Amino acid sequence: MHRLRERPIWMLTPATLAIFVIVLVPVVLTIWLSLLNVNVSTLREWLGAPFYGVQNFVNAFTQPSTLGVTLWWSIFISFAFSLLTTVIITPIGMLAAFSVHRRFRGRGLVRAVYLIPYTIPTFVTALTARVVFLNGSGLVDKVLGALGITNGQTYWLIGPHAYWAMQLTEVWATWPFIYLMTLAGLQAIPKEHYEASALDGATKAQRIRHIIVPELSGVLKLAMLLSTIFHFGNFTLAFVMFSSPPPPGAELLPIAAYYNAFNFFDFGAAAAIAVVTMVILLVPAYIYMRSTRLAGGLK
Amino acid sequence: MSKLRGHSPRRSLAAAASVSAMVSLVGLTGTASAANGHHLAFAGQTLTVLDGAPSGAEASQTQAYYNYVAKVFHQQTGATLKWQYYSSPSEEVTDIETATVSGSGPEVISYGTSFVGTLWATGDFAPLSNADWNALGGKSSFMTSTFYDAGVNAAGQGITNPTAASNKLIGVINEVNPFVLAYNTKYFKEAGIAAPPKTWNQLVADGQKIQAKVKGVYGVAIDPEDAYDPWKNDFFYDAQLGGSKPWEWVSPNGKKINLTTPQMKKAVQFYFALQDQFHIAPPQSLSWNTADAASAFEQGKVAMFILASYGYQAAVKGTPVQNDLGFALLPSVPYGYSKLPAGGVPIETETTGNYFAIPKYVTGNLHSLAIAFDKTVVSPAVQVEQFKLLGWVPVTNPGIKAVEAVAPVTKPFVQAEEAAIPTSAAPVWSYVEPGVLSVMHNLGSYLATHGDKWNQSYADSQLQQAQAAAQAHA
Repeated sequence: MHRLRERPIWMLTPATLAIFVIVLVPVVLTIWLSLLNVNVSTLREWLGAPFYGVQNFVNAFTQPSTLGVTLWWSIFISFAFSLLTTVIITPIGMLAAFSVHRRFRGRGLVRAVYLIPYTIPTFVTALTARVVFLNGSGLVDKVLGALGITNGQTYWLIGPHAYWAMQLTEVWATWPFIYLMTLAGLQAIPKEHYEASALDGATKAQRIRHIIVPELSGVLKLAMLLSTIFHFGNFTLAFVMFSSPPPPGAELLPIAAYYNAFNFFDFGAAAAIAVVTMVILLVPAYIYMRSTRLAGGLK
Repeated sequence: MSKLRGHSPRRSLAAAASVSAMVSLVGLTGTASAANGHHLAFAGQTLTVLDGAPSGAEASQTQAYYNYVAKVFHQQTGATLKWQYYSSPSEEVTDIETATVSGSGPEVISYGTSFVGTLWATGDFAPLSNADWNALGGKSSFMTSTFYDAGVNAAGQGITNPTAASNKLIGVINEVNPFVLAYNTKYFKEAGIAAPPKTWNQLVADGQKIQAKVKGVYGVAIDPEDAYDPWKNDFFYDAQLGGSKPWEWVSPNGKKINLTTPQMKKAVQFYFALQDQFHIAPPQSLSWNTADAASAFEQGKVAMFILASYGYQAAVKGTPVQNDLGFALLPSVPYGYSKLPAGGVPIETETTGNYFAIPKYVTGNLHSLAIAFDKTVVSPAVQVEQFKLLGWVPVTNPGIKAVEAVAPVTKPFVQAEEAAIPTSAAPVWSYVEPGVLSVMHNLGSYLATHGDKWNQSYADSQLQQAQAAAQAHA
């Protein structure tokens, strides 16, 4: 305790103030907004808008919006989208990392190629996907049709297939994130561990089991956690890839909040969706903080 | 376009020369007046105007228009015009919201017809005074139908009597874009069709004839996935059938939503019948937006493109159909009828165009400068230039006269716009429009995944859902 007093805690004041203004104030305002009936007529004097209690939340969960879905659906789609993406890209990213971990001729080029999908801005990826998934004339339909898998006339941008088009595009665009994290983890394993295991006569399988897996475990968990959080908040892909409003399969939480705020001018409802999203994301955020030991506090 | 061909080029040139002389004279007078000190009060000032960023096929023409307006404005006022751009409707909303909440921002805000209710509801835009209108040449110098969309009455309802003194007009219109039917004159000729369709029966028959005669070409493009076109099609057709008048999708007091009338159901069904019943629209078009539909027309894959505007001629330049583009008014008699049914309105377009509004936070000298800007954009010189560059139809009587002298082809479009009908200005419109859009999107998806088989009960349930969702906010 004595030592704690000796620390110049006051130097944290600017950072604390910044966090207060940048993070806490908007969060509190959003929560307050979600309890008001703020629409286009009351926006100008929004602090004086009628108090609505939890009605915005009740409406969002129980009444289909103008787009025909409830908040439950958006939560379901967001979970499915983020979790499935992470589940699919994790083995892909790991395999890619393993494939370029050891030195070989042209390794730099392969590593650069792997990163291409990740370096393309999301809106460009979405625009490209819109063309690739066009009914009949798109690359996907042409390939699937030529292989005899489909009749080459699948509607990917509307109807129930829209979700899968979005899912596939997200997988294509984001697997390098896991690849990068895994590669960083692999490179952080000290050479001495491999050398020692070689001296001990460890087999390849034993090296993977006793060195690589334990060493990668932490970074991989972190990568999967961050990946899930990122996908959960992806707005651009669905917004650009589909029509406006997008099909129900693309009604992710950020999309639902956006349409309530900027199409229906129902800012109270949009804030309620934002608050629900925030509460959901608090869980992985807490796990993330725990895993990076940020939640431990001063000791 | 076809009418332009029949017009004497020499006469056009002579008319153009006299208009140019007139316009130059107006410009010179304005400059001289500025030099005389009348506008010197504005010298050195800057006016910021929020408008859409030049983009798409007409980007260079739009930029040229902006530059021209800035030049004329400077000549007339001595002030500098600064354009501030938004690149999407959502950015436009964000900019307006920011200005609304903060009470500062651009001095003039441009908006399209769908935004009337929204802008009025913010309470942040001052209605123009009689003095303002007088400075612009008086209300009587404007196309009357444009006032429907420029504001609301004292009770905040959509205007049904534009001449009523109580009306609060918050915007000055600078251009209108009546919707028209773009058609491929070559295909019509090849199919032996003498004139574009005037009824929806004729449109279906023409589409079928063209498909039979011209291999690989579909009759018409539909775009149910577009963010605007589908509800506009319903809007016209519903009115032609004599259902809820378009402005009555929301009742005049803004409290009752009417999206489930038999006529509305028919309107929705007919739009998709072009594909699933008459087979004159390509099956792929179920997932098209307007850009896809326009592209199909420009590549010669479809013979007709509904809801084009006269400005579309700029977009087809350099495409395979640039010499085969014809324009006609949209059909105005519903399918299955030889004349309008009882109560039907021969609507061929809605009131559609661009307005400029001045936020309340703009006062004093700056407000006068903003009015001077309005005066610039509705001046005959600018009205002629915007038509030349972008095909935008003029809105003032002097502007119409000047443009018709250059291009008589605009006359039917001006007439169509004069009979145009507006959308509701009630704030709940922000739920109605996306609601109808969702209905059309979902029906398109349904047809695409159910073998193009129309399901009336599914369509009814969709309309019911849109009705209920909008009604909850009325």
